Amino acid sequence: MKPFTLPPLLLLLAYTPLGTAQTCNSNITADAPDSRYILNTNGTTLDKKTGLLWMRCALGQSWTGDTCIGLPQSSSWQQALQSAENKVFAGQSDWRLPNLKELQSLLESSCYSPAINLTVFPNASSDLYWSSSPVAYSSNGASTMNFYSGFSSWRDKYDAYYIRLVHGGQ
Amino acid sequence: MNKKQWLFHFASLLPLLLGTPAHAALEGDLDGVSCNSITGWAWDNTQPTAPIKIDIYDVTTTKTALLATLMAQQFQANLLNAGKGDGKHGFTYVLPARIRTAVKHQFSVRYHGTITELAHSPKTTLSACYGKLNDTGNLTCSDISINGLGCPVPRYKGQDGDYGRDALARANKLAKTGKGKGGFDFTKIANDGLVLSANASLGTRANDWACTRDNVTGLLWEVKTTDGGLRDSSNTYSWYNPDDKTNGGFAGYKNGGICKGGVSCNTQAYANAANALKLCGKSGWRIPSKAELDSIVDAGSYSPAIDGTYFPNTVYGAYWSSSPVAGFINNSAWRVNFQYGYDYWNFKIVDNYVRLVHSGQ
Repeated sequence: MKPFTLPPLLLLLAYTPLGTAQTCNSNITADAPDSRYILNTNGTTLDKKTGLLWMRCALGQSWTGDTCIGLPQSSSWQQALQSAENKVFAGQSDWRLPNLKELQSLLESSCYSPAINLTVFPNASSDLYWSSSPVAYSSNGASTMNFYSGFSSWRDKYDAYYIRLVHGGQ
Repeated sequence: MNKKQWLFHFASLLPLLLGTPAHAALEGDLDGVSCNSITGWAWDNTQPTAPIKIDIYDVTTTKTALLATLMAQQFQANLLNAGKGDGKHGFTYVLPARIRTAVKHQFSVRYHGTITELAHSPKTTLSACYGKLNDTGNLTCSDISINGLGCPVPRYKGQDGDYGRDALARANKLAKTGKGKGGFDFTKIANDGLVLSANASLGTRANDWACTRDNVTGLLWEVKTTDGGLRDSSNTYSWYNPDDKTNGGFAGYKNGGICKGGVSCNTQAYANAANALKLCGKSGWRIPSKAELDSIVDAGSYSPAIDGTYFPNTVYGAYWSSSPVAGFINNSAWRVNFQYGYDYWNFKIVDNYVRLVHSGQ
């Protein structure tokens, strides 16, 4: 039996501020590489693949000029919609909660914990994020995406999850 | 100009040098160029009821690349009214996903096999062309516990149904190349690859419907059959991909499904068989990525969660994607359930359904 080796594990933990470690699979082609994004120092990024402009920090986090600090806010679905409605950031007031397909377009499928590009979205949480999409088969639910692994599922609208806002597109 | 380029140009000029009739009979116009489609018409006025072919080129500073050769044979009433034969001389080319890479494009449309441009060719897109996401299919809005409400809902503004292609379609403000529910825009494609009308039926003849083109994403999709053969909707396959660069580190299983058509019941064997068939006139069919499969989900409906008019014979079950799971659970890959529209993972041994995709023309 292979002896359990502690040092690499400790090394990984040491490099991750929140105690989680992103792991990427070298046998999968990265689908959200740095080259896909234009990074703006005002805290936004343009996704060249979809034409969507995203906030680099989740709501609740603060943009320092090159990274995101602080803890993201978690909200009910209605609070998430209202937070988007009221948000003014980087000179834009028409930020909105992304629909499910827009949220899914953030997926970096070659990585998990989290399954997103951490250069573009620094300190992104591996937890669930709200989409603006209600669920057709359950009137109490709206769709979320789990950024630990990258799958979508519906959750009760009263539950509290994270928020990442988008602008533009169509 | 290097030697190869010079030879290419010389070859292009040959028809002129040899005194081919200088296209006096050919007439056509490049009507419109956008990041969605290229439209126009072309005909030979000496053969008013016979369609002719055109070549579409993507022109950059470094090269002129042939994108597609099309038969200009779409009926346009304005052509008939203008005395252009039987009016069946129009064309619409939907930009494939692979060239939507955040740059402007100049498109040149020429009579097939010549360097003679249609009138008003070349044309450049007004803006950079991005890939396009489909909208979700949610045409109504919701509050905390009720679905199917009109939009907007007070205190729930800014939800899915308030914006995007679906909202535009609801307001009759969405221009489409084809048809489809809400913001979706699909066109039926025949076994031989030609564009069909919206009322075409599935079948095995060359001009029967077999594939559906998504005019938003530029992807071409297989439509499943109920003929009990290779492409029957009930066939299942285990996940198999021996390429270490894309399989997540585990190839999967060669014969874990239950299928007809004389192939090993795995995803790769099925794609290979469709390519050998030249399904809809093409090779290059493959298993869709998770993101591609998610793109045709209609989240506004369920059982099935897809536009059933353009994707009939969809089984209420899981369809494989080509995307392996990165590693939080080993030996698995992503699949999408089309009864409810959600993605999840399965071990690669599981027998799931398959719908093939092609990157476009």
